[in-house]
Order: sequence, then C-alpha cells, then structure tokens
Amino acid sequence: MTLLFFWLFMGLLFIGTPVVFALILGPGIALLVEGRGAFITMMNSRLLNGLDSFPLMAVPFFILAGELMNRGGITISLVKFSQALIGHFRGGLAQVNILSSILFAGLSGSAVADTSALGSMLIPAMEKNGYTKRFAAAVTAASSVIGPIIPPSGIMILYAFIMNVSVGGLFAAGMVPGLLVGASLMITTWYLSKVRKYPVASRRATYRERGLAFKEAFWPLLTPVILLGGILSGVFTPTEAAAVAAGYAMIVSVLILRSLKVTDLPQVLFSTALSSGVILLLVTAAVSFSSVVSLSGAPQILTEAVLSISDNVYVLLFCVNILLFIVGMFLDAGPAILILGPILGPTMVGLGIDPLHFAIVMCVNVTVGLATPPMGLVLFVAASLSEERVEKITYELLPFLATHVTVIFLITFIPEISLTLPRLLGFASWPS
Amino acid sequence: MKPLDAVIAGLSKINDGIGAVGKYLSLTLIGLMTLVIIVQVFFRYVLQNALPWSEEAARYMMIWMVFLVAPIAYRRGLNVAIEIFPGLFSVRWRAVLMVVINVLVIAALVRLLMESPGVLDRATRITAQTIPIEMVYIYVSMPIGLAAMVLAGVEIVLRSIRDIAEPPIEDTPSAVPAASQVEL
Repeated sequence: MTLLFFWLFMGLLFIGTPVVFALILGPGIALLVEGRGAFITMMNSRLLNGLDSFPLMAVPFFILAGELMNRGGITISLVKFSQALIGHFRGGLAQVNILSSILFAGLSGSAVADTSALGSMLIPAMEKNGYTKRFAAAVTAASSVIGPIIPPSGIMILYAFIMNVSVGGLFAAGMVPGLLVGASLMITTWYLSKVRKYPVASRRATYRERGLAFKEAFWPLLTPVILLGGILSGVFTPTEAAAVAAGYAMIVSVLILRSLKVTDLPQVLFSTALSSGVILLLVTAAVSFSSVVSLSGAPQILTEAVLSISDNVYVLLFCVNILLFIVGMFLDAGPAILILGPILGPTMVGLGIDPLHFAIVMCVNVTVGLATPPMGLVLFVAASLSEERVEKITYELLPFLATHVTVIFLITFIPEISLTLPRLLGFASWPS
Repeated sequence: MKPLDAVIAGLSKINDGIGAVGKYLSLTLIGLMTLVIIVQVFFRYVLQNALPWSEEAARYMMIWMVFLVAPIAYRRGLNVAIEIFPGLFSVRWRAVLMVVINVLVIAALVRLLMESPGVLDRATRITAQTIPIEMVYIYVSMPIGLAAMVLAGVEIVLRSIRDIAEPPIEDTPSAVPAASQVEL
C-alpha cells in the first residue's frame, strides 16, 4: 500500500476539511482507489470500538470538572489567593496571572479553559492597572500553556490512550516540567517588568489577609490533592478520579461557594457533552486512521527516512522538536497528538528514548503550539477577550515564546526533569 | 431561489428537532455516567463491595453520547479545521469550497452507513458482558448518529449553494472562529 492516504489527508486538511473528516476521508478514498475497499469494514469497526474505552472516559469527566469550576467562581478565589501572595511585586498582576495559571493547572487539564477563565478576569484588571491590553493577553496566553502540562491533562490522557502508556506515570512526569515552564515565565516577566517599569498591583498583604484568601481558596485547592493523591497512590484509576473531581467541583460550587445554581447544571452538562463529543469523535477517527497507517507500513518507512538523516538520538529529538513546533503552528494539540503520536512514538522509543520522556516532549511541544500563530486556539481566545488583533499580541508574545522554546529544549535534552518524579513514585517507564 | 429556501427551512426544522432530542439525551447521559462512576468508587471503598456492571454501563453511555452530539457539533461547525486557505477567498468561493468538502463528507458518511447492517446483524447475537442487553442496542447508536449527520450535511450543502447564488454581505472577520469553543 502506498502513502496515497497521507497525501489525500494533507490535501483535505489544506482545503479546510475538518480534521475529523479528513482522518476518515484520506484513508477511505485511498483504500477505494487502490481496490482495497474491504478494509473500510475495518475502519468502520474501529470507529465504533475506538470509543469503547474506560481510560478515555476521563476526557469527558475532566471537561465537566473544568466547566463546573469555570462557572462556579472557583477561578476568582484562586486569583485572590495568588494576589495576596505575590501581588506586591513589580509587575504584580502579570505574576499573579502566571501563578493563577499554575494553580488552575492542577484543577483543569485544558489550556483554552485556563485562558478564558483567567483572561476574562485578569485582562481587564491588568488594563486598568496600566498594562497594555496586548501584553495582558500575551501573558495570559503564554501562561495558559501550563494547564495541560501540570496534571490533570487532557492531552496526556489522549496520548496515554493512543500509545498505551500509564496515565499516572505521565501525570507524574508532567509535574516538574509544568512548574519549570511557570517559573521560567515568571523570570521573563520579572525582567520585562523591571525594564518597562510595570506597576505594582497592591501593597503587601498582611498575614491575616493571606490567611483569609487561603481559607477561601482552600476547597478548590484541595482538588489537585484529591486527584493526584488518589491517582498516584493507586486509590482511583484516572477515570474514577476525574469523575470524583467533577462531583467534588459540583458540591463546592453549588453547596459551599454557592456560585452555581442547580438550574444552570443542564447547560453545563450539555456544553460538556458537546465539547467531549467533538474530541472523542476525533479520537476514534484517529484510531481508525492509525489502523490504516500501520497497514501501510508508514512507521517503517519513516524510521528508515529518519535514520538516514542521523542516528544520533539527540539530533533526532531536535528534529522532532522542530517538526512539532511547525505542526503546532497549524494544528491543535489534540489532533497533533492523535495523528503524530502513533507515527513518531514507536520510532523514537525504538531508538532507545524512554516512552514517558518522549511523551512529555511531545505533549509540551504541541501544547506550546496552542499559543503559536497563525493557528492557535489559546491565542484566538486571548485575542477575543482583549479585543486586540492576533498579530499585535504575537509581538508581545515573542519573549514568552522564546522562554517556552528554551524550556522545551531543557526538557528534551535533560530526561531527568521529566523522569525523576515518576521513578520515585515507582512508575515503570516501559509498559509491561 | 424560493423553492431552495423552502427546502432549507424544512430541513432546518427537522434538524432542530433531532438536535433538541440529542441535546437532552446527551446531557442526561453525561450526568448519569459521572454518577455511575462515583457510585462505583463509593461501593468499592466505602461499602467494600465492587459493582460488576458500572464500568461497562458507563462505557456504553459514552458511546451513545458521542453519536448523539456528533450531528449537533457538525451542524454548528464545531469540528476543528485549518481555515487559512479558505480564508484567502471571497465569500462566494468559500461557499463553493464548503459544497465540495461537505459533499465529500456526506459521501463518507453514506459509505460508512452501508457497513451498518452487517455490524448490527452480528451484534444481535452478542450480549453485553455484565448487563443483560444485546450489543445491537449499543451499536445502533452509530448508524443513528451517522444518518443524522447526513441530514445536517445536506442542510450545510444547501445553505452553501444558496450562498453561492446570493453571497451574504461579508461580515467583519471575528477573532475567534466558532471551532475554538472546543479544545483539549
């Protein structure tokens, strides 16, 4: 079988076919043209069976938890807590934005949820405090990238599903890289604030005020503790943890914070069903697509092509970085993981790279792609919240993107950043 | 273009109806799924008595949920696409492109639907592992979803054809494409 399916797929994507349909049409047309229509039966059954997975169910549950927290005013308590801690520094609100993203990342696994929740609050606040709107939007977009790197993480669940690695292991591996991205962005912001003389947000909070802010943020901040503690200690499977998190978020926002009315619930549930349906359909189309990928022998062809470039693992990882960066400019994180994971993963692991390490490299790389122009959902949301044009935000985003790229290289070439924590927690890197 | 408008209006009404049913069923299913899995955890840890059926039941609810919202998402244009190339064209040519893409999509959906009788026939002879129902009641969700997607696709194509004949006034490009409401 030739690579016709791949060129058809690329062509369809280019003319603007939704990714999910291109994943079905590319291989489908190729099979018919090459007279192997019988394999369409296989594609069809993969489309159905691809959905029949318990680990995959973590995706709708985490989306539900995120939706509930987003509407339930949990964001506000996190931002107030961050402000009480670090609002008195120069460039305080910019730093508060990043710290809130780090805290929010432990509750939600999506960068766009992070951007819209924090951006709608902090972009207007930063503008009032004397920042330009485009800088406010850039900081929000750049720091939202932390959301899916610090667990829980939607794209890590997708990667774990399609590549058959442990979700718990991936979550553990993402923790330090996520914090590293956050810390690096804070350093960049500190430097920019000094040079550009950005304002101080507020006077230093007293310990009493900090205590009060912490009290208010206590219940939301308990979510990552329950989630990760439960998953990493083996009490829950990730899917169960996600369902418990959704239930917990519902109790906190309806009963404790009283910020969400029971009558709002149907709307929350439907928008969860809608966004998870879109993603799950993409997942199952990718499962169907990758069955044709393995039929075509593309991974072997790719491995040979890659090895003809170089057999140095680090050179190859560098090439992967560049490839994913370019892909990230045009494709969302989810589709990029689902399409490229099964192609690149086995090749790189075959060359001796730790599966967990490679997974983190891929996840961080494609997540940063959400903030890179010309196509980046996080960037689009930040643009619409700030009512600034994407190009103008991009200019302010450049120092942050440079920071991201630096961190990506650190994570790529120092495997210990990702692997130390999962090893300490006893996650075997190689699936048994 | 009066007859075309009438057809679009009629089809749109049908699709609205299907969408409303899909909406209420899918939001009920996601709520039930969450509840079932929380109950599963509760039974295992608090009552020390693991439920045998909860996981399988939740999986089947998820399959149904996906095929119930798929037509709604398709009709609302929520499936992510790369819109750089179409963005280079005028409204009229973009509508031509929409017709081409969605005719291909409908063809794919119909070809997949042709597989369904075989799948359903096999599924009548299989029973689920832990719940006493035949798998056909799970698998039938796919042809139902695909058929509703075909109807949504026809509506999209007809609307695009009308746009080719009478292009709507070019609206100012908004910063956020509709698709960006959905992400992971």
